[in-house]
Amino acid sequence: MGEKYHVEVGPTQPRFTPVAKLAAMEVEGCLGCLKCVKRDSCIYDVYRKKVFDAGQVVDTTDSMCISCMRCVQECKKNILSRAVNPQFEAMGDEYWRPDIIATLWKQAATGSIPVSGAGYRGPFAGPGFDQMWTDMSEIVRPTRDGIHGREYISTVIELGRRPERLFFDEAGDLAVDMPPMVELPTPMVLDLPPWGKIGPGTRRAVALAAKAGKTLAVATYDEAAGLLADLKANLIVRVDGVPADLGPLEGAAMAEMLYAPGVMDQVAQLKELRPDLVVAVRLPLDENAADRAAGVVLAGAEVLYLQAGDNGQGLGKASDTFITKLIREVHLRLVDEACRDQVTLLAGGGVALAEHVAKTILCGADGVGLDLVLNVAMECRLCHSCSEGFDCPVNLDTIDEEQGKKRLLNLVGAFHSQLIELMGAMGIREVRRLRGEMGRAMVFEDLEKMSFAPIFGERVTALEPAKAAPAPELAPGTYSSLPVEITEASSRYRNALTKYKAERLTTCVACGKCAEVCQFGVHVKAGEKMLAPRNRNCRGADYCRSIGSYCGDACPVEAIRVGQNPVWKTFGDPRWPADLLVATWIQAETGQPPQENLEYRKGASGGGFDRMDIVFPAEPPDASFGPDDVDLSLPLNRRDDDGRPPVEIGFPIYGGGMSFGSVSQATMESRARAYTALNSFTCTGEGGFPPVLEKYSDNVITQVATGLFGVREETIQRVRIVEFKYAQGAKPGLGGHLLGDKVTPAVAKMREAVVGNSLFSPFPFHSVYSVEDHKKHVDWIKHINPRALVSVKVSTPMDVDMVAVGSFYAGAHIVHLDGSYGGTGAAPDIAKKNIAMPIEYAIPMVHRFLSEEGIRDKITLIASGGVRTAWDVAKAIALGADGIVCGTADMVALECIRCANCESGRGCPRGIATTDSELQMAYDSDWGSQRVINLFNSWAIQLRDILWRLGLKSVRDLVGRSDLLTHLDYQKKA
Amino acid sequence: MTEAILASRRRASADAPPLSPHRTAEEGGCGVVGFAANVPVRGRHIFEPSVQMHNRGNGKGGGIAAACLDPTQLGVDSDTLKNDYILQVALLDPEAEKEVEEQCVSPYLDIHHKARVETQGDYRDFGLEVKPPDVVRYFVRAKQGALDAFAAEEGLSELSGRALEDEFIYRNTNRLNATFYTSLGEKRAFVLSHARNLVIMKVVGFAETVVQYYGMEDFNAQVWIAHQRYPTKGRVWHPGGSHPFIGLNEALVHNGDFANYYSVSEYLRQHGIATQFLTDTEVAVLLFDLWTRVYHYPLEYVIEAMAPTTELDFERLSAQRKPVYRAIQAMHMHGSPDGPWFFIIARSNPDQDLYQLLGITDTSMLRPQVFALQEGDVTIGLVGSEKQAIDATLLSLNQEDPRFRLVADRYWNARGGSSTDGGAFLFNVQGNGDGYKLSCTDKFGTPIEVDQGQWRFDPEEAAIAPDQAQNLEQALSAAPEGYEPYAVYEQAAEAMASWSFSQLRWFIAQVEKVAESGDQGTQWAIELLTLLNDRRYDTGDKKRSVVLQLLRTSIDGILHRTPAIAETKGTRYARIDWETRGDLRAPTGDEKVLVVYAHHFPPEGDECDARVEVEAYHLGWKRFIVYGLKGQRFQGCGLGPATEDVRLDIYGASGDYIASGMDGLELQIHDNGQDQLGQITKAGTLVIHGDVGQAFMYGAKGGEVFIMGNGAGRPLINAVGRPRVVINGTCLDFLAESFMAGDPYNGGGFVVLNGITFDKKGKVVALDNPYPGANLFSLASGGAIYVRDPHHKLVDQQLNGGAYYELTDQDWDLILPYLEANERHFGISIDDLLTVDGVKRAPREVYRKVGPGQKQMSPKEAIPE
Repeated sequence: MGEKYHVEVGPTQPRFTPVAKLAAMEVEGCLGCLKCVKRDSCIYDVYRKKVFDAGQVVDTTDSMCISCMRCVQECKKNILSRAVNPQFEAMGDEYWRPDIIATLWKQAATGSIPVSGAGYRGPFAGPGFDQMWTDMSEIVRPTRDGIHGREYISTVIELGRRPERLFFDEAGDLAVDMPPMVELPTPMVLDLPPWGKIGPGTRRAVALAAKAGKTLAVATYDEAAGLLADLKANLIVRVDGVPADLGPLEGAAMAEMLYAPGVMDQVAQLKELRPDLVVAVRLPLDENAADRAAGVVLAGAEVLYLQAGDNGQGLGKASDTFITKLIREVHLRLVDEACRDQVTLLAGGGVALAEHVAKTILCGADGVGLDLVLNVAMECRLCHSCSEGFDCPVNLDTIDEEQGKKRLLNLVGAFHSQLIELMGAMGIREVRRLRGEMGRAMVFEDLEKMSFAPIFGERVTALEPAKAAPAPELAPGTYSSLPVEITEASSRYRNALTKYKAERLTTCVACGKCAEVCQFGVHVKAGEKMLAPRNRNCRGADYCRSIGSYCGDACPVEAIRVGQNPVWKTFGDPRWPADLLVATWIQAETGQPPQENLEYRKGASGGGFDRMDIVFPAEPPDASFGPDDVDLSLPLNRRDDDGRPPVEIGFPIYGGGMSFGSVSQATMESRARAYTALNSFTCTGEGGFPPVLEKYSDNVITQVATGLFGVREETIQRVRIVEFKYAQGAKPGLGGHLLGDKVTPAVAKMREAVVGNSLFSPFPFHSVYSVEDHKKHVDWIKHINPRALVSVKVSTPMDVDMVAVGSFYAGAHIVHLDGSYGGTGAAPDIAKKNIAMPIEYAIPMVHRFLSEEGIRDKITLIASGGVRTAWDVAKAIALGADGIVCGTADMVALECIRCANCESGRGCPRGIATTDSELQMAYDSDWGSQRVINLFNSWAIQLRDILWRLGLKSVRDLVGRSDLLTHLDYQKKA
Repeated sequence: MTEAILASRRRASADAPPLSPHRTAEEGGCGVVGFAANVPVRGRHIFEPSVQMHNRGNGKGGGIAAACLDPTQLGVDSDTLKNDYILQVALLDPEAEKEVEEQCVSPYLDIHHKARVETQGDYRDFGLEVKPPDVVRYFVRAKQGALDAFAAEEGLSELSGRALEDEFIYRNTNRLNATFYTSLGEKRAFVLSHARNLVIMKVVGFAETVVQYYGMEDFNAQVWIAHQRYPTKGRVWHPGGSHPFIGLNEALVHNGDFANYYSVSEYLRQHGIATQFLTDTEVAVLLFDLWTRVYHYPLEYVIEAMAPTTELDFERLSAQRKPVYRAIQAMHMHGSPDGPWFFIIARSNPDQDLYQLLGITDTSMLRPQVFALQEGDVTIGLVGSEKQAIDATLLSLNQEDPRFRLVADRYWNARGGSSTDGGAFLFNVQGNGDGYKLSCTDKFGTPIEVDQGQWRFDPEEAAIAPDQAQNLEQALSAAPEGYEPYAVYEQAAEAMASWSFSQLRWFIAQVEKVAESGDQGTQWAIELLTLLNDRRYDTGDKKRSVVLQLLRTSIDGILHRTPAIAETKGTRYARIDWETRGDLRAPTGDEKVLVVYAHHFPPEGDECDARVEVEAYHLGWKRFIVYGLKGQRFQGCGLGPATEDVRLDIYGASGDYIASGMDGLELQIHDNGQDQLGQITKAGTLVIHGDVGQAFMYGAKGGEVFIMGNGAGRPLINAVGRPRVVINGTCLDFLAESFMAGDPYNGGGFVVLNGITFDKKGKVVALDNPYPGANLFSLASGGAIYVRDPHHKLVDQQLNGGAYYELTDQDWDLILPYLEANERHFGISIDDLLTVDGVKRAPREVYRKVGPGQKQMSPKEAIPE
């Protein structure tokens, strides 16, 4: 009990090369140029380290590729391409998606928790476990940093029956016999695999992993008698009634019986013979589960194992109900019967990721059974070949027991660490206190009701995305720019990534017919030659046929092929689809909204901003002013009680914090220059105030984050705004991560830390464990710099509204909400996806709460975390924000492709989020700042257009006008 | 019996609506304070510490509880006070009185006395925005018939008289609240308290306004607790959510916020307890009542169930306790509060004439807490969020009754969930027929002892020259030129043990005479008295706290007599205070030292004394003496870099955040320091002649820092660069977590932890364990800790990523200059430090080094390529 739980993890190579997500393709026409991209542009040397495994028919380039697309974009002849690997896409099913299988393999191979850069990349919400977010703590109570061992978070559970209370004698000793109880240091047991090609090695691997991980594995009676007899101390032996020979149960940790009417009689018989043996009852989570659970618990059951289907679905008639809800029903029923605390509940079925462990426990289980996920850890591809009588592609049954054990142990270790991350973010230091704690969970349905229903009316569609109607085009005409210089800043790369690709075969006779036909300038004839096709302009064969001018039809020698570019599917994600990335690049290049046929207003996440539209009036807009008259400026100091100077920004956006170390100096300076030109601010992030930024001090925000790196009185005193970073949306409840690879001598010097050692900022602020500490903290900064405004950057827990009000009373000028889908240089994947709520929910909650409190006009409300487009900006403001903080969009302007490799190794292959001596030279701040300026100029044009068409003369008039929004999944009540 | 109560409650609560996962009354933190004395103390004295902690509340909730009351003030006889329940009903709607009485009082309770608590005028005159409730106070016993019916209906006939009546009263209150509070949108009435010999009052406002509005300044009680609330839930229109909350015979105030409110509520629900006020404080006291009154758990085990003993501390429990604690944890972990919390509880047990004040901290010690004890003609135990609140209480008491003294005999912090003190302390006020005795124990029942000795002195009595007068007189008459203050200090310290208070007072009077001789004399006297205040020496049979009181009063007096800044005398000292702050100007003539009387300044904000000091610095002042502090914050902050020529000396009850941001200056605190000191310190010297509070030197980059006593929890977290720190005592836990202070041999930083304290004679003695915490140097990647640990008490289990190394000559050369400076600051000699069990040892036999381990923990190993 005193001992800290530690799982010994270590690299364990797979036996079979994992199925790669992307495959390389190369078309004819290689120049054979010596400066081949395969050598020079691949910064991770994937091509040079390439090995072809003829036995497995796999090319390691594919499995090592990090999908940065530099090779595709740099190839001189534009003949290199990558495409989605169909074998990858075919893995698993709708529930056990290929990306889940891939991340499990990685965890089983390394034992480490998945950490990556960029923000969350998946859909807004999803079915099953993805309908639930976990809460986090900030300001009003501290988080616990358990993952780095800064604080001990206990994951001990006890399996067994508990008496109602204890009795003590006069001396204070226990006066009751405690019933037998099995103590596990981790709330995970290893169940029997539900199916798969299972051999003795596979079974022994599981039991060995249970032993090494100090937990239990379920085994059959026969296994306990034979194959696993030496591992009985870590087995839950399944028996069918009371066996005639109790020998195999001798020394077993526990026994288990399947539920059947009268099972408790059988249990009682067994207990009579073996009073010290804890006997579990396995109960199917079907429509009768709650009734039966109550029955057996009142009859004295010690442990219940609640069994759901492989995909977390209920069994029997409850197959439409998900495991979370079913566990909840059982748990609440037992609470009502006042016997919940007497019994231990384990639950299994559909636990595929680490967050499912925490969520299952939050719903009411004490511990979790891992089942199918064990197969995956041992490299199973869930292809069901075995069920169909075919060979197993990874010979699961022949796995060496040691190899299997290590992979399983890695999985258990990684899951355990991730459970601690979630608990730490919640501020809970005992997993036994997490059980049933629904106060620290947020459910999609509730959030929609709480936050959206008052605005949008009644929800009419479930989570399944309906097709969105196209948003209106930008009103035609020319728009004036912001008062900044807009010049073209073209791509750093040779080949643009395009939706369509036109190729000319060698049979081309260069007649120029195609150039005559094409309306978009794809084909250009120069003298006697045809230039390489300008694919960026291409609208695709279907479209051109529909307007009757398709180059392919015009070619006399049929040398033109026009098709979907396979690359288009290899980058981008639901939050930032390829359309949006490319559209953003184009805006950064030209300073104008894209003319190409690309969706540049929203992503494809299926929720939040991506399901909202702005309702424009049917009547033409007010003619008394034009789009150019719309005022985008925003005052940031709205307090009238502390005599601090006003600060106004030229448009309602400023730059979010990115630390020196997480991004390159050129990136920092590019942003600082751009935001200065735009009369706005950028923020230092938490890595100190590099000298290169000093000349921009009037437009730089000094961030005071939990690591306090590089923060000195001087850096606090030289600026007009100081920002407390209490939390970051991408990793709410966790501190900053700067992995050792990126702690170069320059970074270490700025932070006064040690070269090459990872820097994990503590969490929370150790000087702020409560709201009165928070006030003191704000008072302190205000004392050090009496002219500065104070911004409080927080994430979006359930009580974010309280945090906002508390910050106002603490004296803050700006409350900055960073939603959970924000960007990051490095964060555990589990945090990016699961902790805290998306910004779309938080803005209206806080806006409403501040309004009701009567202080909305005294504080500036800034939102960030998933604001990707000018349209998102408008929607966020209409929901109730005054302004926006941007980060990821700036990175995309600098040609980030969101490959998410910011965090480790040499960092960003595109030279943005890197401190690598070579890579950080990829561009200079002239180019970089122009790209950022251009992007925001385009946004300003769009914002003015939106406001003008709404008849609003100032962006300040849009604040809280949620009546101007609709949600595609809602029906507004009349 | 227990089962019967539970069964009956479950039946009664069967129809309760489902729990909502979300609290309505969220709160982040607060200020809490309490004290218990062996004599009655008037309500006005809870006033001062409450005022002191305004900045821990926001005026949206305050409350007090008082126990062991004076029957005459309540209009009853002592038997009634002893036997009756004092039912106090808050009428939010004054019209509700009749209904409340008809439905919930008269039919069931015999009313022996009824009074409406008088108020002292219009609430707005007290700065209140919300009208406090009218309070009706009933002295009641359950009607026998009602009680019998209750026992029969609820199956509680086994319960003995008082236990049954307790449950009846408790349930009657539940019913009253359910009828007039919980079930209503517009709340009408609720029960403030119903204990015997204990009352609770609360308002929407600051705690002290309770005392004022309800006219409790002269109200006598022996146990007092108060609470300043900082609710973040918007507009508050009634005090239902204010603390204290009640169980039956206890009142609880809470600083913190549970992380698992819902599951604790669910635990209570299984035991038939429906929550009515939706705050975590309510569930805390309900848990406490369940485990004490219904389960009959001993207090130690209730505390264990609330704040479990874990990690290394669990291992260190006695063999007898381990199985008991293990069972308690297995049983009660689910229902116990997580997150930061600190409870102060007042309990009343009139049957045994026992009244208790209890302070419990959570296992992780996430909220600040200080305990204090003073013995003498009267004995008082105190507990609060800040030491300055304790000092304010003592000052307030002393002004009325000099038997209470200005300095407590002992101040200490609790180690939450620990094997050493259990993180909880209990002050017992035990009646013995003709008076009360106060004693203090920790969670385990171990008595807390204080420095014994004489405390009585008569300020009117003539001072007497001591035997050594000749030498001293010679020295004093030659002062200030003839003798260094240090030389006189040595003589005085030597002689002190033999002096009576009159002789000490003679000596002080002589020093004050020197002070009156001019600038140089003043400086000399302050230096001498400061040395006597700071250092440890044998005070003989006089209590050190009384010696300190005399010295400190004298220092304050001398500083008080320095010329006001407006006088422009051009002498060495110029004094500024709240009244004269507008007179601030640049130094003229020989003016060197700005003396700041901080007493009446607000603790923070544009008007605080620390801002005056920054402005003065910009006007050319470099030398500051700040005194008369009562929790004012931020001294030494905001002066900016390059302040090597600046020095501040701080006297009195200083506040949080001192020297946070310090970049060059020297700052000395001549008493204990509070929380969050030395954050982000870049350079300079900080000397603390006492203990220092939580999160000390968080994120520091440098500086040379010397602590005479202990650091509380979490010192030096995330410190980088080159901080060099000597802590002579120990720390509670989490020392130098994530320390990244480079290579100490090449300009990096380190901490020397001496693990010593002083005995009664002022001699250095080693602590039992130089560092009891479970976490040392966790996840640190740079720097080192040098621990004086000759008996190798530190174990591997305390490390996470660090490693122990043998001390090398290079290490000793590195730390020696700091130990020498330490000797200069505190008189702790290197010889004493190197002496183990009476024998002087080589440094490597005495000190151990903790440095980064070989392998750094990383959550993401490189993915194999």
